[in-house]
Amino acid sequence: MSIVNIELCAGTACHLMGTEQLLNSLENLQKRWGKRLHVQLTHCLGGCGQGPTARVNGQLYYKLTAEQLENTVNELLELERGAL
Amino acid sequence: MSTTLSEVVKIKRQLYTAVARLAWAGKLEEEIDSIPDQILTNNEINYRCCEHKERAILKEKIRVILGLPADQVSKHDPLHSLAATALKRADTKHACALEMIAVACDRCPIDRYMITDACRNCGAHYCKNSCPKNAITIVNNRPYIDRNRCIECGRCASSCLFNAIVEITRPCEQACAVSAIKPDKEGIAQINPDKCVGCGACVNACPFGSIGDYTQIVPTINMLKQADYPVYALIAPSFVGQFGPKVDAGAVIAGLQQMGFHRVTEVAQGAETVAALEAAEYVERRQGGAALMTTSCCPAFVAMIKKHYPDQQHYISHTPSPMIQLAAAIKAQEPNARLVFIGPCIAKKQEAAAHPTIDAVLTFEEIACMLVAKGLNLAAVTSQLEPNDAGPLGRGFAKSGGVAEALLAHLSPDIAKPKVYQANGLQAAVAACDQLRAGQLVADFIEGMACEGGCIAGPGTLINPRVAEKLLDRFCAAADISKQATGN
Repeated sequence: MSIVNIELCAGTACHLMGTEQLLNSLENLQKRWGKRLHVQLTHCLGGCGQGPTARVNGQLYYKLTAEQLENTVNELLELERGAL
Repeated sequence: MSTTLSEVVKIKRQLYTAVARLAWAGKLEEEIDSIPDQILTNNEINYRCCEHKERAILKEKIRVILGLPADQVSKHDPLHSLAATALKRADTKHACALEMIAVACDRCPIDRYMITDACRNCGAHYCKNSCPKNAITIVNNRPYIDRNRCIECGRCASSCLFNAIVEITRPCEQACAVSAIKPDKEGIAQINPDKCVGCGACVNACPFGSIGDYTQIVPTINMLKQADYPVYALIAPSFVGQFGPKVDAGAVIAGLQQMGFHRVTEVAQGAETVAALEAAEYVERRQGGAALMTTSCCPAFVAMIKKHYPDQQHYISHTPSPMIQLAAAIKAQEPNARLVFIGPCIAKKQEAAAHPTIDAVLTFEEIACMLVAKGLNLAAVTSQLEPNDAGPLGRGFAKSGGVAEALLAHLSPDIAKPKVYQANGLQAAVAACDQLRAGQLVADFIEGMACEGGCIAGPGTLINPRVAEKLLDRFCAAADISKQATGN
């Protein structure tokens, strides 16, 4: 079973644009997916000014909303479940 | 601050950052005219009729960020001349920190009274008959309110036996516990400065972000850029956790020093002194036969009593607020220093206007934008610093219940334990004053806080108050008990 790795930027610029909201939705996602979701806070992903920023399985997302993040994660993990 | 972050808040923060960036670079006058375009390119803003209106609103919001009230400048002034005016101002504080930005007010086309489908089309027509202005006619078997005649008195709504007429209020009006906001003839909301206590609840309540609070971002940056005098930061106890999950208290202090502050001191230190003084004052007042005493640390609560219940203002403690207390202590040591209060509070901006010891007041939101504008990222600051200016009682001032707890801790055991009433939030405080007036409130000591939950829920905060409370409790537990003030 694969794992989704999420690095969430907690730098000041991203924090001002809503890192906390993304963190809240990640907590909900973790309730659903448990250990298949790997969340790490980082101090900068280089997207200052376009935050909030997160890296999901290596791909960077800018101006991310909680809804987009949830959809992205759910799609990645559901896809795999469907394939199995 | 609510738990969701709306687009209007994000735009406000982008504006703060853009203005601060130019102020740091010393290019405010040269480049300020380009900010509205930058924001419009960076965001999809389409709440209004057209881009021109959005641009006009952004311009007005920048004027407020520059700290210029609408009635002191011409509305035709371009941004660069507004910037020039702002840079020339000697006094940058505001006795009234809030402004309803007229062009941004959407004149919420909310007709206050609305007939709903619950209307049974009865034969009595109590609604029509109760209307003093003959504004209600029956059209197609349904009452119809003529908006040109309606004076929004509400008699129709209370007369309807089916509750079929609902009252809908504008979000700003609803948020205001002291009824300071009313629409003018054109439907534009107006803040009555004689009634407004500066709590700032309306700022986050307006879904269009049309209420602004004047900032001292530019004058503070200019203070930090010079070397003639040291600039001190006085940081309110609610600061823990405000700058994100990777930023501890030490990193905040180190970051502010990197930004140019000579020293950063916890306002909780001033709160320690306040707790001791207030306890002594309480004992003295009781011995003198006084019925009760209220706290004095929340400026919106104090303003509410002074403006709306002047007959009760003798109950307010004469002890200065922690901010003023600490400012006096620092000034005594270093008379040359300039002092900047950093906190969650808009009302503090108004309090500072009456106190020459405080040079500027910034919210956590404003200071965070100034840090970003300077290229400082607190999450990347490593620091071994551990703030150690205050004990647990002083730090506890930031949450509802904390001030009362500190006072009780300072009372000697032979004093009868006072009955404490916690007025948690401005609405509760207004209710308490009403009860007091009616002689129905039994209390020896009233702790008044205009923000529900205390300062950690203030309008200038950056995180969920519930998270902030947990972090504050931890911060209090880690405090050095020996920093507690002793009664004097």
